[in-house]
Amino acid sequence: MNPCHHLSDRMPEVAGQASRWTADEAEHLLACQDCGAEWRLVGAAVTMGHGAAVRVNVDQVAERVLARLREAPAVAAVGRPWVRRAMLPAAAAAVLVSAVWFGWPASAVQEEPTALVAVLPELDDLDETELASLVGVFTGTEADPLRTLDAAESLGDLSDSELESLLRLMEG
Amino acid sequence: MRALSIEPVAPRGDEALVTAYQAGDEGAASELVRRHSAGLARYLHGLGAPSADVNDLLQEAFFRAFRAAASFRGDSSFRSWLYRIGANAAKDHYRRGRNRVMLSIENRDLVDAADPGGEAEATEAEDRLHAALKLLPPKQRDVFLLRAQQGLAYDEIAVTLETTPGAARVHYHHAVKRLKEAMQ
Repeated sequence: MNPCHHLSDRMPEVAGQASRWTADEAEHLLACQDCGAEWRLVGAAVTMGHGAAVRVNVDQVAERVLARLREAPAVAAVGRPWVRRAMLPAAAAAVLVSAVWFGWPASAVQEEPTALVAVLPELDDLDETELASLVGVFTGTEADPLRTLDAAESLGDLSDSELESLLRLMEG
Repeated sequence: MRALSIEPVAPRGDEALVTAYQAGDEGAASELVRRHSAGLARYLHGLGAPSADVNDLLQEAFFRAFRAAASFRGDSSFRSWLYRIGANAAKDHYRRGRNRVMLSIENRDLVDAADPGGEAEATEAEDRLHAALKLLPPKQRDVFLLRAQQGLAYDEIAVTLETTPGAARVHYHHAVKRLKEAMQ
């Protein structure tokens, strides 16, 4: 992990005063413009909304919540074991019947990892350098996945499942 | 003769307080409200809630959380569970249309909320950050707030937002990059 990523990981805990910078970290922070900008960002995030929080009347909130709860007793948990026990076989049977009746969905049987990359539309928007960098990850010639993702700006807009597929490929 | 000594009582953890509330201890619920109101208020504000609405949203979030306390199984921390409920309460609140001024979280969210009292106190950097957050995709904004503002670990963020730690890390990385550009 390079010093910038290390500092980035540490920023929330230092900004939240759960930790302090070491001498080396402080030195890097002063010298690195990029880390300095991120540190100011995290600092602003930590103080943001303080005004809204100060104006909250905690006792009043607690009092009103309890009053509402007294009028509306707790609902039963949906995830209770007996509910799950009853629902699971029914759900499994429903899936099985649909599969037999309508046929198994085509998408469920073409799950080849290599095909996943081809269906990521965001990759079409990458320029040559970004694509080369990404290919480097798959072929093992790229050492720093985060740097690659940094270059591939549009990957930030991938859905979670797409991101996960990509991360799985990158991490082997 | 032994001298009487008062042993300091360790504060109960959130999970213990939830259990105590379920057993009928209302004081435990009040304690949870006291512990988490400030953090949740700041998170809701970061999501775009005007200061004027924060009290109502807090009440709704805590009400929903305690009402569903039986479904809290401790798979995640109480805090991350509560924050997810809070974000959903905010979505529902504004989806109902009573305060359309503010957010529609599915689209480009956040509000151009008129909030003179609250915003006046914010520093310039906070104002700019608040504005820049509106430009982020929802998931990036949520991850950034939970990580940078609330100091949650990626594991907890993943549970809160129903994603994975790896995806949360990537969202954070991109959020920071975009926010830095927007604030330059």
